[in-house]
Amino acid sequence: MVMFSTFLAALMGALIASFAAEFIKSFVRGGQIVELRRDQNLLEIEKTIESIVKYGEEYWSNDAKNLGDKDRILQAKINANQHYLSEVIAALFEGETKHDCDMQFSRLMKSLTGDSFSELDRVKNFQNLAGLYLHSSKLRNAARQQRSKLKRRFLS
Amino acid sequence: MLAKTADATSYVTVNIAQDFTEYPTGRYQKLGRGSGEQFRDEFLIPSLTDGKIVKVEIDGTAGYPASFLEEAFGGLIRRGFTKKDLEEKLDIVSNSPSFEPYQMLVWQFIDNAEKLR
Repeated sequence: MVMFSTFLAALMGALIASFAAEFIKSFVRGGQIVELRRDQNLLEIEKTIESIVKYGEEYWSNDAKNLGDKDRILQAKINANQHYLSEVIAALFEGETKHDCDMQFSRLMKSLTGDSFSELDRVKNFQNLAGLYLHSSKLRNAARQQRSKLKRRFLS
Repeated sequence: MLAKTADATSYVTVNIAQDFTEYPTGRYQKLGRGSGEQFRDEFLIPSLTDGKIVKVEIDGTAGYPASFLEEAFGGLIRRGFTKKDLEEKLDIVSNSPSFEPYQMLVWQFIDNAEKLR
């Protein structure tokens, strides 16, 4: 009888230990997935900023008439990447951290798609280019800083 | 910036994506449909002039060029409205976090245009 109850206790202990180990593994895995997703979103923000700078540079360093059809194509790329950037920022951040990035993003927007953006008689504008370089760097920096401040998941 | 209280009949709701365009362009109407100028002149000014409170739902488009927002909303100041008028009669609404920066910019442009009057 004693042997049987000992055996039963050992079996229950083994089952509980196994379940606890799986539970902890799953908890840790969940946290790691969250952190990986955050890192991927940050990478996506940086890649999109890079694209925006590339397209914005070509756009604002040329008159619309010199670009021909490419002017419209660049506009479409710039518009799409601008909005995509806002979506990825919203996917990664919320509250005060998002507000900080949104402030930088709105400054970038003014240089990128403000002024005479999409006008047929648009002329090159190097001031917008300067703004583009400055605010894209500031946004990149703000995103990295805010990402590092995000509370990491326990045991991730 | 919320509109002051009013009864339901004096509200007009405009959903830019559904009522105007999913792809806002730039400033001026000469570019074709979807400009800030067209949106301002066809949707905002008539209702604001009638004394209505205009609720503008900005979600659902493919984003906004800053030039569209400046012409549509900053342009209201250049057309004779004051910032105070717009704070009372204009309600910019978004339920999507990715559209919050556009909401911010609308009021920045209104503020800037008011300073340049």
